[in-house]
Amino acid sequence: MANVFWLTCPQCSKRFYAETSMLKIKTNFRCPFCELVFDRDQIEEEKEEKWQKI
Amino acid sequence: MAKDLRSFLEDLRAKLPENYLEVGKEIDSRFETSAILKHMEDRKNFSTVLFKNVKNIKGVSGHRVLSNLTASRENMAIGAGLSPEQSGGDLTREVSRKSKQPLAPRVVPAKEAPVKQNIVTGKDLDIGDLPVIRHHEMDAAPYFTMAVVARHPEWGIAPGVHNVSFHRMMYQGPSQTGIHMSPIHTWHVFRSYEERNLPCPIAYVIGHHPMFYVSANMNPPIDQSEYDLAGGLMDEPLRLTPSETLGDDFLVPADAEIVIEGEILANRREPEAPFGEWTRYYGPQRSNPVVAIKAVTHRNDSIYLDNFIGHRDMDCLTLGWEGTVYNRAKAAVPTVLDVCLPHSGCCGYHAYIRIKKTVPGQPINAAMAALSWGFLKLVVVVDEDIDVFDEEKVWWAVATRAQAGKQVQVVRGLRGSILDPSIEETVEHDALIIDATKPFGKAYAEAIKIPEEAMQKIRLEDYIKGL
Repeated sequence: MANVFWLTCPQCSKRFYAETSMLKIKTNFRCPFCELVFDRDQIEEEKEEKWQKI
Repeated sequence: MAKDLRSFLEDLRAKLPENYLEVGKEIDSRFETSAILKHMEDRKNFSTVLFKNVKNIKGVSGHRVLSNLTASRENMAIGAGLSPEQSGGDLTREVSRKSKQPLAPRVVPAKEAPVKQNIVTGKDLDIGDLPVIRHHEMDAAPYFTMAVVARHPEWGIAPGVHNVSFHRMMYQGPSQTGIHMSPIHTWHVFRSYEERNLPCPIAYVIGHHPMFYVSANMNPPIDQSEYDLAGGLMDEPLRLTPSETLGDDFLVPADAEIVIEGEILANRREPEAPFGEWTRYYGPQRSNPVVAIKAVTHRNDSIYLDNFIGHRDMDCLTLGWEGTVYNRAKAAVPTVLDVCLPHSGCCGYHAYIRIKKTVPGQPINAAMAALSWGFLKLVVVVDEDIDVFDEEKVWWAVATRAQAGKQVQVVRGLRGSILDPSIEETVEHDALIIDATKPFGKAYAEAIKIPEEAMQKIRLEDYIKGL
């Protein structure tokens, strides 16, 4: 599994993780809990620089 | 009658009835079948379960879902034509033997194919009508957990060959799924199409004989079809029939419960996952290809087969991997006796190899051959007196026959598993080899034992009651 980062859904505030390679391409994210599709600008952790590598 | 899922269930009920359960009460496809299976697992019960009244994502009840089909090696032994008692090394060797005797499939017309009893296309098509299971909390959606058939194109590296392998597919809508592919055979087929900006036809096979799925988990040469391998493992040619929407040259299993036909679209990616994988971790969300579904064909009163992945249901299915590793190690060292991929390594990352050492160096030869398969990160080679299906014995051998400075090696930069949480940017990993065999041609300490005649003479029941 490649490097991953945690992110928080801007709608339901639940957390999940994605592959860091998704940051290198223009793509959306999809919350597994509420199914909201959102783009990179809406990731709260990114702005707060709280990404974690697991 | 051709071998299929139903014939296997008859065999199972006849030969190992305690391994088969039915649940008649209504249950939701969203987490509830998983909850029942996890409760059973916590009680060390890995029986096959037929849920007879499952509610799909549209809230419609009455669907049949089968889980834990491959959750015990005893089941797999029955599938391989052995007795449940032959579920250890006998089973691995039988899979190996049969994999070397592939049988060409037999093509039958649609009217003789049970999977064509119902054909759904066009505006009636909605894969949400199937009882697709949502397994684990962070799963992105309900997931299909079975095998994909892809046919190498005429311009590809194995023209016309049907490849069968396991790939998760994420429900994304009535006629759309996401798909995840490790960079192995199906991925090669897909890329052959995508490089020409063409969609890649695939079929998804839900519900067949366990040996069909074992063949999908083996790694034959790319120009050998798993359809042939399935015939060998099932002791009879696999019956195939032309697809409904992918052309007459694209053949699908005639005796499957359900076949989904579709195309992996070229140059299109969407978020896919997280998904609870065989590693017992969630695979992360990725930007992955999309499948446009074109048809669903299914039997009357079909049984939807789901793999409870991340649990024993997947572990024992990796018998195909174990057979592959056995074949490779045995080809390198003919005196390899047994191979076990233990649960502690998710039945994919660790291998224990039992050999009769006749020449110094054989343990490393066997280990290197095993590593050529791809996913292994630890190979322990032991002498013939060690039962590789008894993990405690294997590690006793490591403790008492291996010196780290001489008998432990690290092999770096192998192609590994993309699902391994511990690898980083690429799919490379490192592997550990432990040669836990006694030195060749030298006197060595003798393992303790009670005289055999004393063991035969003493009957425990005559001395201690109730044990």
